Amino acid sequence: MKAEQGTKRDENLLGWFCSYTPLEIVRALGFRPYRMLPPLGRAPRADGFFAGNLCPYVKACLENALEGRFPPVLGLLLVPSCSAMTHLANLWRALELSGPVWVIDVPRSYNSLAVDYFSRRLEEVALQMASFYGRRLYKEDLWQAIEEEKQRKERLKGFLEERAAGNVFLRGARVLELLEEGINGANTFPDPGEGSAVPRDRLRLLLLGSIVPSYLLDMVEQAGAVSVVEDACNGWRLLPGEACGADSPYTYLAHLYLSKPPCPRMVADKGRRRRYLQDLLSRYRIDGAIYHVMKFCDAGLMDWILVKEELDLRGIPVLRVEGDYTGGGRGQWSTRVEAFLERLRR
Amino acid sequence: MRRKAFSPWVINTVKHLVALSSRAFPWRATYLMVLKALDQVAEAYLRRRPVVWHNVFFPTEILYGLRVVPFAPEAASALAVGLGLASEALNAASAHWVATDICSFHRLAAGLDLAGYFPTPDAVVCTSHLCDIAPQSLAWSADRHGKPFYLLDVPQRAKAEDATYVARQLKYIFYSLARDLGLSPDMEALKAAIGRSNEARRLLLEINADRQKLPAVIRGEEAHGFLYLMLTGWGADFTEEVYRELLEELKTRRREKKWAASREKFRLLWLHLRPYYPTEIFKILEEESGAIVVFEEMHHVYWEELDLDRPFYSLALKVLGHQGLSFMERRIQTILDMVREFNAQGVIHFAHWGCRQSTAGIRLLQEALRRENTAFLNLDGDCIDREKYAGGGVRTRLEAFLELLAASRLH
Repeated sequence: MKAEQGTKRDENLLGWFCSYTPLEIVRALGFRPYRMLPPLGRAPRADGFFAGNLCPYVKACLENALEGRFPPVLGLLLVPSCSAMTHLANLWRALELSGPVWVIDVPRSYNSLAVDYFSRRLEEVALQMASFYGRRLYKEDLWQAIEEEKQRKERLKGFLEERAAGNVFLRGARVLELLEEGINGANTFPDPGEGSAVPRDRLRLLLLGSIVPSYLLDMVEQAGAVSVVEDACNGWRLLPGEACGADSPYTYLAHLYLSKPPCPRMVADKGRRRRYLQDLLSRYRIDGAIYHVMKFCDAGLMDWILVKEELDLRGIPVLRVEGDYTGGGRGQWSTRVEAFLERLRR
Repeated sequence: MRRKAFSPWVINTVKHLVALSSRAFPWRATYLMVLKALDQVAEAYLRRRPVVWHNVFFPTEILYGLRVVPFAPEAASALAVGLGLASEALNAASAHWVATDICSFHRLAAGLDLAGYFPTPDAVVCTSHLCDIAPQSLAWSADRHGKPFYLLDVPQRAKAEDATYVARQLKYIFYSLARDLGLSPDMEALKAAIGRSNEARRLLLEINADRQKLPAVIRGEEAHGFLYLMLTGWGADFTEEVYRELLEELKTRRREKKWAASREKFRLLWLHLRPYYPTEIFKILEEESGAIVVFEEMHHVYWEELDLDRPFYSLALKVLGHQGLSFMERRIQTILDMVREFNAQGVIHFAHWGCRQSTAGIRLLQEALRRENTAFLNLDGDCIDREKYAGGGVRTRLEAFLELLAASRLH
């Protein structure tokens, strides 16, 4: 479902960035969510607006907006997940890049206070958006969007778990594409013929990071290993959490998103993140891991320490590579990945 | 060996030496503050009461209300730079995978803790606002020490429901800390701490009002030292005491016409923090050029008087009142107001490497100041890591900025 990418005009697009954005609300309002995930590249214009020590992904978002490379969106539903995203919202508004910026604070923990607050904020923003865009928002529509999204994500989750268990195989880059297409609304799932035979005797890797570039997955495969789990904002963190019965769709969504695979920004939930990792490592055979740290991402930089501790405890080697969202440094990465796999084979 | 220098015995000896050298301090208030700070540090190491680590934006009234000993690793980092511990501690942090792209206040704090310089915490509290790395770094420390960690999750907005959310968390933290630390959650003690905070706030407002007058009687380099109170002392009895002393001294010096500079040429506003190792910055500005830093953004009183009958809610409003929260317009407007109130002709932002929050929005601020014909200098550097300080380059930039100020005056 790549139709909305490029510059084709679509009157119904609403942009979003973070995996904690409740897409069900966007759909219930009759919009099509569009993830602002720009291609890798340098950001010379954005560099003029931001300081040097800021997240390169956020810079790339601004660069692509300034250059008109994103499709026109009617507005943004933005989660201020970190200082960089907050400043992106500032500039987006100041530069009047496109439509209003709807900011929704997502708590950094999962407890009753957080659920209560988040559900209220969800409802407030949803109603504000409905009023601003002159759309009606019925609870039934929202429940329906929740159900549709649930089915889509559950199918994706089922596929990812099968793949992690080694029962099916699909190239890592294609998996990331499928996820992106899925969250943008496509119901395209790998048909039985799309996957190839499950490779045996290959090293099985866990890939981690805020955004894992697909060419890193290609590199891993070319070097003779496979990526089986991608714990990233463009990977498994897009999957839903658990939501028990709730009378209000907003409370349901608050549970669903706050309990999803935790991102390192959920700082009050470090224990849950640790348990999530432990669960992944105990459920699937993992021979090694590669952590892609986005430069200047404070949450990722500290998460690396937690992940390393957990992997060290299990004797699972991990390679850390640092990325700046430019797509550069491939030669160096390739050499390091090959050397890392060589070490694992020994 | 140096680690032993942090023993209670040595701290007490240092305190006695400081007590005997009051004349070394140009301000009695500074002398008083150093003595009180040493008392607090000694208490943390003696561990007669529980020690709670906190970040510098946490409303410490909660901690003083619980009668625990607050300890701010970020503030301790600044102190450690002066004690010459930075290199060793930064190396210790690097050896434990703490990346160099992380704010050096937190790298240093992590290193000092790993190297055994810090008093062990009994619990750790932190807010999520204004700094992404503080909660990450403090959560990691709490985990390492096996102690409870409480996050105060702060939204960007400050509407009633946001304040309620923050207030409920504060209440939860207050009672949870009391339970964890085996203390009695005494609401009267909390109210007393809030009362002290209000009185200190009133005195700081008077101090700030005095600093608005021309010419200045205190130099920015001297005033910066009092940020220790702003970042760690709300609810403490000594904060009130030090501010009262400072206010008295300011008034006396103004009466006696003891000005900060023999000839005040320019008045400057300082944004963010300053380097905590010796530099020439303030010498170039204040001593050589008569460009006095008349106010620091960090000394801005951004909250209303706290309500003793609604302690958690009013503390929530305090937290949410910070100009750095929400969209950048809020901070910009606050800074423009400061420029006007303090008659500042120029603004210097010390762009501390590692601080995404303060540095990232500078372009919008720069444009707003330009529209108001206020000179602006974004001075890159690092508050902690002296290896990132290039003295020659800093002098060149400051001198160019001063020339710009002089030229603006001519026009």
